[in-house]
Amino acid sequence: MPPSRPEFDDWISASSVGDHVFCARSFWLREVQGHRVGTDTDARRQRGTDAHATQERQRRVLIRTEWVGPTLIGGGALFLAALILFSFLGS
Amino acid sequence: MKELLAITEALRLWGIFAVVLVIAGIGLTVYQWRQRRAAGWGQSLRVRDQDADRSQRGGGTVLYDPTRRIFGKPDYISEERRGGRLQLVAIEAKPTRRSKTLREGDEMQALIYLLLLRATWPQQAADVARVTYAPGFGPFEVKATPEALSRLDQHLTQMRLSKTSRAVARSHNQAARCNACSMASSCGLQRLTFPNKKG
Repeated sequence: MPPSRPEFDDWISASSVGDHVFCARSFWLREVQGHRVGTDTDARRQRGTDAHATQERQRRVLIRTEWVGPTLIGGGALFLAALILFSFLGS
Repeated sequence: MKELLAITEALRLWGIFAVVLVIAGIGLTVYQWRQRRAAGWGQSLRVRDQDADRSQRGGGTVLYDPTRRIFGKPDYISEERRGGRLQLVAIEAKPTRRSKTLREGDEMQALIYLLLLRATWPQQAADVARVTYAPGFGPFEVKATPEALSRLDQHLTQMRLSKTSRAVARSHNQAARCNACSMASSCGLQRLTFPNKKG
């Protein structure tokens, strides 16, 4: 949030624009009138939060393991080359 | 002769092992590439500046654009090589949304992130932002076209006006939106209904 001073009163958050596009009255009721959302929305929001958390975990696993595939390819290819070289030298 | 046969056999087994390694590596790389593509992430899984605490609620940095008086925090900022140089792409993730078309609300949100990146890192910000939905839906790229910017400015103006309004009318004519609305119980207006199907 921007600092809570009067000159920042008309600053608008990115997420609230989506609410306004959905319905201007819904935005006004929540953001201006301060009405609370229903329990259905709380549950839906929780599902969204969980999905974000799952995606974030997947991203972190990918970051930790993205080196494994190329290493296997490189290591396997080097090993194969060494074996071929060894078999030529041995024969 | 026996020794030669044993060596040949060992080489064959180690050779198979090496080939299996290469195949496993290719399989894993392809799997990860597909996973990355399905999630709509770019070339880089790392995010600028706010990698540390993305998994925490409230993690990451809030960005500001004083020109339009907007602020926000993209879900991800991906570093991607575009046009021969590294650029920053804002990503808005909606992992539960299943839609084959980009919703205008998501488009406007991503457009704001694009503008925030431009205001914060003018040299590195890409000219697109990305919206990702559930795997198999999207991703979509959003550009700051004059038409999109004009729509955004209209929304921002209306939003600022509504902050001082005593009442604001419904801005759509769609029953589906009323059905999905989180404010339906406090709306006070008659909820829109689907027309009855005849026959």
